[in-house]
Amino acid sequence: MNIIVCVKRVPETSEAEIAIDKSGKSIRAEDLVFDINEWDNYAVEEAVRIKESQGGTITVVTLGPPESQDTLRRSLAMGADEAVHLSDPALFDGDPYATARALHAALKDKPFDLLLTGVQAGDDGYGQVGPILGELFHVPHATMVTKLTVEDKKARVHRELEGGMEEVVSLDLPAVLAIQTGINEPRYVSIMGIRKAKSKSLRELTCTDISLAPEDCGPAGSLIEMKGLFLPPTGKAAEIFKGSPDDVSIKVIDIVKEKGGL
Amino acid sequence: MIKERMFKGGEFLITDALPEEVFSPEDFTQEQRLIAQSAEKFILGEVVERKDELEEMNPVLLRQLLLKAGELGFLSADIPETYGGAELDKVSSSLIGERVGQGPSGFAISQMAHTGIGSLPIALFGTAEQKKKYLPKLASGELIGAFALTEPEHGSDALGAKTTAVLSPDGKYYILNGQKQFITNAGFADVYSTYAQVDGEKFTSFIVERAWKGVSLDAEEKKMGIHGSSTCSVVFQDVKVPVENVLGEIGRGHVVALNTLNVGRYKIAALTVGVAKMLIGEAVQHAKTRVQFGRPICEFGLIKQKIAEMVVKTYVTESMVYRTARLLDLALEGVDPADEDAGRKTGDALRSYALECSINKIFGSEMLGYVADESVQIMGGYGYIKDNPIEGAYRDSRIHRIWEGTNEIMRLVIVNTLLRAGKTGVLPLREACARVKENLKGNANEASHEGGLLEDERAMVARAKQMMLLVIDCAIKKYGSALPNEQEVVGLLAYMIIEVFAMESGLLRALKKAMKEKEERSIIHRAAAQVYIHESFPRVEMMVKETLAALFEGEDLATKLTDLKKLAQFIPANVVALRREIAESVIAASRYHLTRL
Amino acid sequence: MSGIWVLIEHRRGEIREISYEMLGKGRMVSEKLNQELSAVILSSDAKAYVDKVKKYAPKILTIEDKQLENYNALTYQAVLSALATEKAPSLILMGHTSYGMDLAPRVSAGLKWPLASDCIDVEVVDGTIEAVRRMYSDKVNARIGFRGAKNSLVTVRPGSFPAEIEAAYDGEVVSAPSPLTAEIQARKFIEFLEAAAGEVDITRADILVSVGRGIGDAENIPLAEALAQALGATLSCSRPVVDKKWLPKERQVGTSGKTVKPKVYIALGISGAFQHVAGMKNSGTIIAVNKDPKAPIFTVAQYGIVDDLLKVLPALTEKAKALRA
Repeated sequence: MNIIVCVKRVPETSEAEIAIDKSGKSIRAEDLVFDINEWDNYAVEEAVRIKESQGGTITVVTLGPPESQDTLRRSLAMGADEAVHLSDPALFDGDPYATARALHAALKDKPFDLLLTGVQAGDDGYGQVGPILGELFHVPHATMVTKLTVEDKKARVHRELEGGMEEVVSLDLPAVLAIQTGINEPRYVSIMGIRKAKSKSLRELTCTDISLAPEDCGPAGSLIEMKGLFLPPTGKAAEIFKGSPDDVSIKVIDIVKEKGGL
Repeated sequence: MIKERMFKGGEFLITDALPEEVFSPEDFTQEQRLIAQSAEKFILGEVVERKDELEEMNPVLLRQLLLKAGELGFLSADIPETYGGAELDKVSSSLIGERVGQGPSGFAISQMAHTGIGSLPIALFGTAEQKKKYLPKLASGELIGAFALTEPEHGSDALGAKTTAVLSPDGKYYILNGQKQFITNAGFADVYSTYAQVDGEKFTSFIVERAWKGVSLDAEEKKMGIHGSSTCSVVFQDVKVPVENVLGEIGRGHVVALNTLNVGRYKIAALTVGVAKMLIGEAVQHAKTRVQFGRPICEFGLIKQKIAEMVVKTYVTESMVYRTARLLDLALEGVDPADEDAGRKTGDALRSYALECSINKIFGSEMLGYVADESVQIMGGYGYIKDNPIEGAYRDSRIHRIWEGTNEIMRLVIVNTLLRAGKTGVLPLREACARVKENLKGNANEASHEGGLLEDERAMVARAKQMMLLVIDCAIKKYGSALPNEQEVVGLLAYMIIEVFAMESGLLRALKKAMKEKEERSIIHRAAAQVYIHESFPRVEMMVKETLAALFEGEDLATKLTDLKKLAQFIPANVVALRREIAESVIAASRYHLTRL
Repeated sequence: MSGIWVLIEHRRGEIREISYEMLGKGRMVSEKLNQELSAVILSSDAKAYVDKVKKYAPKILTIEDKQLENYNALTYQAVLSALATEKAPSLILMGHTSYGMDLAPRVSAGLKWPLASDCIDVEVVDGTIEAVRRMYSDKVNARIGFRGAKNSLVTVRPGSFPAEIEAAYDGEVVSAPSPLTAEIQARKFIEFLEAAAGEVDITRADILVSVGRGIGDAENIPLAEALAQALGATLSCSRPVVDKKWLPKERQVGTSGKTVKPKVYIALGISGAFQHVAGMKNSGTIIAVNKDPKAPIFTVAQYGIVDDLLKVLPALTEKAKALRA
């Protein structure tokens, strides 16, 4: 099984304070903690499990600044075999379409049975790259994958629907799958894995290497543009109780009593 | 191009290093960063999740977790690959130690004792057979190690141990009798390296297995802190130790013990950095949500001051830990850990760094005492209540100033190591002292760095070294070889030496950060270095004065004080403002964010 | 060519709520741009759906094909793209749902029409369409432009707009033939799987004590359980708690879990990510405990405590016990 996994290095934002930077188009990221996109981690783990049971090779790919290599090394340490880094700054800051095109250009001569991405990235949350890759490669795709079985050149997947329901879908291989969190329990990276990763191949590619014309790269090759960031208007805010845990608890329990019909 | 330099132990006292020449956390390789992140994920995912169960000694859970850690390679940084170990450099193993420190202390202490003093004696000094027999299982966590040196009557004077080892008539066994006290991990360890006198006076190291007849344990000690770790006495009653289990040479057990302790020493500092970062995070989170007088308390100046001080001291400790770890790696570059003779070669290579390792141990343990104490203070009443991690950390922190060599012994080691290096000519101490005196006479201006960053602080550190060299010279002249007996003076000298290493390490790190990234990104680093140097420099001056007053009187004293005055001038920076800046940055990030991985 | 299209999302014979939300917004955009609003129905049998949306759009475009019976990215893409190529609408609105997320990007790439996904608003600025979406854990809004493109797509976050109720059109039904000639094999719908009926039905509780990532670790869950018990309430949670396997999926509140409407919803250590909020925002009274004063949950809750929930929980439980004693 030849598996490609697209990964992204993103900042952890759910617990951090976020501020918009001077340009108005990005956030101040110096003091944020960066790591592999949570969804992508599940995708790498899923790929490694398939490789462990059926054999094969895993290639991880990322598009990003030099620090993105940390994410590639981590994926190699988890069990991927080789890594590709699209490191040309001309490719940065593109929209999902431009990014997918760059990934496609880099991978189009690499045969695969499965190409995995995460459902979405934790920073911008567009969720588009997976399905776009399906279109660019002219192969079937499915998103929100919560279970994956590969047999006889087909992938049988469960897709998460709303309300706790799922649907079962079958795809001919090769296929692109966008992996949902919770599909598996990602393993810890071990020292041995890190050591082995050192000798695994990591290639850097530029626009020229992937034969992508400048007008197709980055912002120039994007279909949408991000015109600016702004703070959400503070909606009707909650009434905040102040005081010691004891004080606030009394108030809260009173409300629960009144509104909850206790 | 200025390159990294392998400074000799203590060389920092007589040389002004350049930022490019020393290692700092900003120099971590991709691999080192990945190792740190992986260790952190493991601690958060597996150990922190079970912190309640780890509050009291839980040998079953501890062994389970150690086994998991072993599988991932986190127990065997110092065990060679040939024996199933991870064989990591000291920087990487310090990063693991630091991350382990961020988790529950029950696990952290058990892991530290197992990987450090627990496994090192065999890893360093074992024969090929001994290594083959024990190391792979120590590496995986299948066997847990402990270091059984201390006795009821022999703590600091460990080499005077009273446990006896008598060769059996058939020459196959040593019969061990005695008691070891306060042994970490003993409650569930499988293998001890222990120490006994052969023929009454040949201090020798042995590998003893828990399962052997005659080995028994007393009840677990009821400790002030680190309740989750095991501490108990190990009693040997006619234990038959096969002669194959003699570790190292008969009568040369001190080589095993002291070299093991030397390496284990700076690792404590790595652990304290991890604990301190965790405490800073907790304290800051609390300060952001605790509202008094209508504002979160993190907005009040005295709280900011505390936060800043905790950050500064942690920053300086961290700078020293990784600077030292790298020095050890450089010194060990030629040594193959799988070599039969690895132990002796390692011991030789590292002996001169006993000075830096001791500094780390003292500074880290005292820094943690401060950080834990102020964390409790920031938490206020809540900090005093059990079930609060800060309360436990406060009680936990106290042990680090006591074990693996009390901080007082460490101070003696620092000065003794320096004196020995000077005497044997390894360190041109005399020449350095002479140079200082010459410079003083001629009022020579120190080399100016042409208005570079932290130029004043560079000068202050250089002058602090000169002050210290002056007074060391005087002390040696006055007491000669009897100086070690003047413990109070030795303590003062040690103080200066520690402060110089601390100031310089923080300074060089901040300068390195400014070199490697945009100047604005190094603001907080530089502020931290500045604060520490401006606090420390006058303290060094005070210690020098006190020493001079102990050495001289009357006219002589007056002359010396005049000399001192030339070196001790400085314009105090606005540390109040600098501390505020540091605190506000850390508060905004909700954590100690100075070290980027 | 022009037109504002709303792709009607349906499943198992039911029209999904998001469709009505989009129709409302679609009408506003169509009025501003002076272009016709069309509801687009792709299915194996459009009749029942047509009757339900006739009121809400002046034109109903339908294509029927057996291969459209259940959603399938490939068949839906082929049909929708053919229709869109022919009629060139200015904007196609789809739900940012398990279907829409799956379909829209592929249609967008195939047609090379820009797609702004997961949007909370669509605006007309100087005659051009702009979209607004959230980024970085919903802490920041972003304005998206389509770079002058004549045709674009937007997937809409469910719950962003109120459902359309006012319009009173008598939609003209235009049915087009299906462009599908052969059976598409590469992807096939097999079956639906109902959520396993667990032992607990959180949708029936009057009071829910709900835990999120902020609970810290599995061993703190009993603290929340104690509060639930003291209040006679049921324990529920957000997605990260289920991903970490601290609680079973049957307790999950949110778009991929259950939608609940208890009298009181106590959110402990839940940040308020939209997928979760979508599942509980119609609760009677929402009380949130979170140590981040800027957590989005505080814009949804009526009452809040900004503090470490591990400090507050024991106090809450104690007071709850005292109350019921």
